[in-house]
Amino acid sequence: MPVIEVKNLTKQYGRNGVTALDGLDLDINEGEIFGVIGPNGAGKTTLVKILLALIRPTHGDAKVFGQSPGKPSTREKIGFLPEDAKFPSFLTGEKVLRYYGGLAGYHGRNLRTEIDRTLSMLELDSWRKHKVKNYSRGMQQKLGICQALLGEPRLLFLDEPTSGIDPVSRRKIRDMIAGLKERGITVMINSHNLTEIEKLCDRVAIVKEGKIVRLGTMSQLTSLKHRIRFNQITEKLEEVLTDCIGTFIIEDKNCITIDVENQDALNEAIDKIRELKINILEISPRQTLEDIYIQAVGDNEVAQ
Amino acid sequence: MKTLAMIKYTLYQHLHGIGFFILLMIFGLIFVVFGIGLSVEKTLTGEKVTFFGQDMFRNMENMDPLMAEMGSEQPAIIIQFSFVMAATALWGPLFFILIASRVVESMLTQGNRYLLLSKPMHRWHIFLSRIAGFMLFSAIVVLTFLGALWLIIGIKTGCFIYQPFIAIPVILLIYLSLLSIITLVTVVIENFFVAAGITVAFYFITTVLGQLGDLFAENSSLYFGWSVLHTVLPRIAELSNAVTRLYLNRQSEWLTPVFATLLFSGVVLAAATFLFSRKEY
Repeated sequence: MPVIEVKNLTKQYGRNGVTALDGLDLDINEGEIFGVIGPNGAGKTTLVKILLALIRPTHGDAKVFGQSPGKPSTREKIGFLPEDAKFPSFLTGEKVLRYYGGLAGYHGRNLRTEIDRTLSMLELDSWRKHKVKNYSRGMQQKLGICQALLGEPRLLFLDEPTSGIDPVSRRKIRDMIAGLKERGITVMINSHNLTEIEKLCDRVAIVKEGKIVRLGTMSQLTSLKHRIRFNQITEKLEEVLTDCIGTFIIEDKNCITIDVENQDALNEAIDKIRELKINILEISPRQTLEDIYIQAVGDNEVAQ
Repeated sequence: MKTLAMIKYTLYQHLHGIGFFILLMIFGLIFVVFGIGLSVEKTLTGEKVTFFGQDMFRNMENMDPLMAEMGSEQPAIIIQFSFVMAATALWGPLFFILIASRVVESMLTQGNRYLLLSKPMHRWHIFLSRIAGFMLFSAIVVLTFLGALWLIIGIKTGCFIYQPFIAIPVILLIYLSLLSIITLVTVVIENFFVAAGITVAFYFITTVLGQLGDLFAENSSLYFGWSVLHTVLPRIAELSNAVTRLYLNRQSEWLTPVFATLLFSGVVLAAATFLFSRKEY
C-alpha cells in the first residue's frame, strides 16, 4: 500500500485566486526516497502542507498511511523539517529536542535515548549544551533534521534539507538519508539542489504550475542517451551498433547518438566497437536531471 | 505529557523575555520600599506601625472614605496594603498581557508554527496548553509577589494576614479575559503590535465603562447601550473593587462580575481556539 496517496488534488488560494495545485495525482511507496522539484510557486510546499494538514485541499483527496493527514495518530509517524525552521534561540540544542520530543509524545528515558541518537547521527553531540543563538545556519539545519528524526518516523518530509550546510556535512546527511531507506523509512524531499535529488532519490516528480509534468525513476527520466563521436562512421560500425543496440541516430558524418537501457548495455556497445579497432573520440555524458528539469519547466522558469 | 511539554516551554519563553526582567525590577523595587519603609515603633500606648516615618492611623482620614471607615476596625497595615492589592489587581493583568503578547506572537511566526502544527497534537490541544502555560506563569508570579510582600510585612510587623491572597484568583480572571482578547486578535490578524494595542484599549474601555453607569439617566437610550455593554463585557473595575472590599472583610457583590467575566473569557477563548483550529497556515 502506498504511504502517500494523492488523487486529483487541487488547491486554490482565495475564491478566484491562484491555483497552487491543479488536479495532482501521486502515489509514494513505502521505503522510497521521493524527490519533488520545480520552480518557486510550482506547488511543492502546498503539497507538503496538505500532506501535513496545515492547509485543506479545495478538491481531491490526500491520504497518508491510508488515513487523513489531520489525525494526530497519522502525524505520530511523520517527521517534518520545514524550509525556514526557527528554533527558540534562548534554548540549548538539547532543550529544543526535549521540547519537540515532548510534543511528539516522548518523555523520560525514551526521549533521552532519542535525543542522544539523533544528535550523534548529525554530529551535534558536542553542541548539545550550547544555546541555539550560537549555532551557525548549517548547525540549525542539522538540529532541524534531528527534531524531524525524533522517534524514528516512518515518513519524513524534508524541505531543502542541506541548505546552508557545508559540503562534507551535506554528504553525511545524504548518506544518512540513504540509510533511512534501508530501514524502510519513506522520505519525501523538496529541493532546488538537483544534484542532491539525482544522487538520493528513487523517483522524482517535476512540478510546474501545480501539475506534475514529469514523473519517474531517475533512469526513466534521464534516458541513457549518449553521443559517441568517431573518426569516421563505417558500415561495419553501423552493423555492430544495429546488432547490440538496435536503433541509433547518425547525427553527422562522425557522430552517433545511441539510446541504451542501462550502463551495462552502454559498456557492451563500447566493447564491440573497440573490437573493431574503431577509435572513439568522445562519449558525452548522459542527460542530467538538470537537462530534464530545464526541458520540463522551460528556460524562462530556470532563468528566474 | 504533550500538555506538560507545551506548558514548560511557555514558562521558559516568559522567563527569557525582556518583560520578565522588567517585572523583576519592579518587584525588587516594591520589596525594597516595603522592606526599608515599614517599621514598628514602640510608643507609650503600645506599638505604632509606620511607613517611612508616617503614622498609618493618623493619615486615615485623608484616604478613601471606605478606607477611613475601616480604619478603626482593621490593623493599619492591612489598610495600607490594600492600595498595593488594588493596584496589583488593576494593573498586574495589563502588565502580564504585555509580556504575554510577544509569546503569543512567537507561537504563530512562520518557521515556528510549521514545526508546532506538524506535531501529533490537535490544534485545540496546542492552543489550550499554551493558554494553561500563560495562566500558570501569571499565577506563579502573582503568588510569588504577594507571598513575598506578605512575608516582608509579617516579619516587620508581626501581622501575618491572609487577605492578600484573595486577590490572586481575581487577578488571574482579569488576565484570562485579556488573554482571550489578545489571542483572538493575534490569531485573526497575526500582528503583535496591533493585538497588544487592541487589548490595552479594550482594557481601558472596559475599566472606564464599568464606572460610568451612574452618569446616565435610567431608561435613557445611553443607559440601555451602557447596560448591554456592561452585561456582555468583563467587569474589570467591579472585580478590582470587590477585591478591596473582600480584603477589608466587607460585604461585596462578587458573584455576578466573576460569572460575567468568566463567560466572556470562555466565549472569546472558544472563538480563538476554533479559528486557530480551522485556520490555514
